[in-house]
Amino acid sequence: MIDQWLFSGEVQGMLQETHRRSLDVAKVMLEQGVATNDVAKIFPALSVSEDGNTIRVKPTIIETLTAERDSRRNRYAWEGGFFLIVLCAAIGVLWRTVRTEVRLRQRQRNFVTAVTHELKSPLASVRLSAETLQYRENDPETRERLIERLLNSLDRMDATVSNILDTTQIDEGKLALEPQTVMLSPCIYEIVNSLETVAENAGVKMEIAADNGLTVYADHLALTVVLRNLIANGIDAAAGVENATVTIKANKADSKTVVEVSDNGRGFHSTEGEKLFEKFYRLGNEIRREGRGTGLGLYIARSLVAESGGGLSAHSDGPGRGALFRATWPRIQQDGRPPGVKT
Amino acid sequence: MAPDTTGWTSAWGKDLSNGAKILVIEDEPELAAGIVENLTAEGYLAEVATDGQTGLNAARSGNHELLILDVMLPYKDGFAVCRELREEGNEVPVLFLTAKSDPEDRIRGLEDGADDYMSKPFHLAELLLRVAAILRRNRWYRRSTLDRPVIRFGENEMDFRTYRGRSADGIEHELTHKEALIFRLLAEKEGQVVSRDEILDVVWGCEAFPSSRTIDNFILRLRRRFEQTASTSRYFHTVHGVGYLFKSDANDP
Repeated sequence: MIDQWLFSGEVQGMLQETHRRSLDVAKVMLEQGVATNDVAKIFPALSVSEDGNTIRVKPTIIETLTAERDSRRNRYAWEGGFFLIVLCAAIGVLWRTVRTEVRLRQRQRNFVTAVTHELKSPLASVRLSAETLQYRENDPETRERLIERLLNSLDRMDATVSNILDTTQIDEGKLALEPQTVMLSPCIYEIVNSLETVAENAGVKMEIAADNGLTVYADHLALTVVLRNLIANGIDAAAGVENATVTIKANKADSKTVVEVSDNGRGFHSTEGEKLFEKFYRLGNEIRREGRGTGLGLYIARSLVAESGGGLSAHSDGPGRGALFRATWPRIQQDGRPPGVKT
Repeated sequence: MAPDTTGWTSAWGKDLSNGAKILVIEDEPELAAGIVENLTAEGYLAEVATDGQTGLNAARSGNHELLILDVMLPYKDGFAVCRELREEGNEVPVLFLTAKSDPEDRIRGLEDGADDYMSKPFHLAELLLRVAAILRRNRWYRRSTLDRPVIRFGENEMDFRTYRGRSADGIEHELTHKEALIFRLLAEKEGQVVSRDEILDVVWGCEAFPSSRTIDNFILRLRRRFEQTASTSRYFHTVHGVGYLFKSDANDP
């Protein structure tokens, strides 16, 4: 474009030079006695006065040339500018695509590593228990313990595999949910009871403040999965801190039923709040594991809450300062159905 | 022998453990418990740490003869634990036991100063054999060092008790555990050719190392420390196609 720009300048300069030369030639011809009219005919770009004393390039010619140059330059500037913008936009789009792709790849790699760990560690435990059973002479009590350990490890593998399958189903829109009116508090107490041993082993206290009579219109199993996930995450995050506590609150707010699960544990950067719900996202890096998991639990939880017309968000004041997860569902109306539920 | 709390009898008929203290750093509680019970049954004194940071602290103060270390751990990964221990001069043998089984991961672990590397899931018998092998290697080193703790060759000196050497130009060198093991093996068989396989077997255990090229690098490092000129080897000789040879009374070329 710059070349074109300079080129039109050059062309204009050369044309002016040509006119100047013809001016010189015309002067010589006039001096030699050639008739004024003839000179004017030979050089149409020159204007010769009647008496033949003054001769110059026609001002209109110079104007035309300048105008032509400017219009060309104008065009080049627009065209060039346009192409430049298109080029920048294309580079921008390409860069974004590549960056998204790189991030997705990175997260998928994290996922594969996480799944590998989540499957191979319990698998190693299963194998070890089985070999110990086969290899050594165990008293009945030890045998019992080994079998229990083996089953625990199998449960963990089962949970991991289920998570992966759930994710696939969510992605393909194949979740078969049967929404119904579920009493919230009994559901919460049931989950807390089932996690009692886990919390106790982790040294985490669980506190519940749930209003009675709250209901949620959702698939019962899906609701259990969501709440269990949030509470188990809380226990995992709080484990190891002083006065480790997970608090579960349930109440009404505006037109919503709200469940808040908070802990005083590891927390996260405020910028990570949304990323937590992305598929495969995990705190920490590939090998330094900030807690267990495949990076699918919260993705699944949010998808399930969304299926029943609700929302799930996360908040933390920063690393080491605890976290709060807030799930909301639309309140059930008179006709038994909450607004905005996919039917 | 340590008290056998599980009532199991040793798999080996005779006790090879000498009650060696082993630290297991593993975040999978069932697996950690299973390993500890089996080690205890073999007569070792085993304890567990469930995350990287606790494990590192325990290893610093613990006087262990071996660390069985997972890689993917909370708070601090296993590679970092191993690296930090080595940087602090702690040369406790490390056996990585991990779900990560890519060759790059193995190489990385071994470069960070690990003694052996096993991927999950593993065979119990193999784990116990490797544990015994690592402990045997280190006992061999200690015993061999006891017989002849300091070796002088030319103007150089090497003290195998402290891993410290001094070259002819007066510079002090601190060798890594692996460098010291290789040097010790060559010095013990002074004047004889030691094959790469033998070095692999004695220093790393047969399956841990992906390439014998790495031994060349270790020999190169020993040469850089103790040979006066880079181009000629007076003490550490390569016998092409066979292995290496150490001579302490090298004549001037």
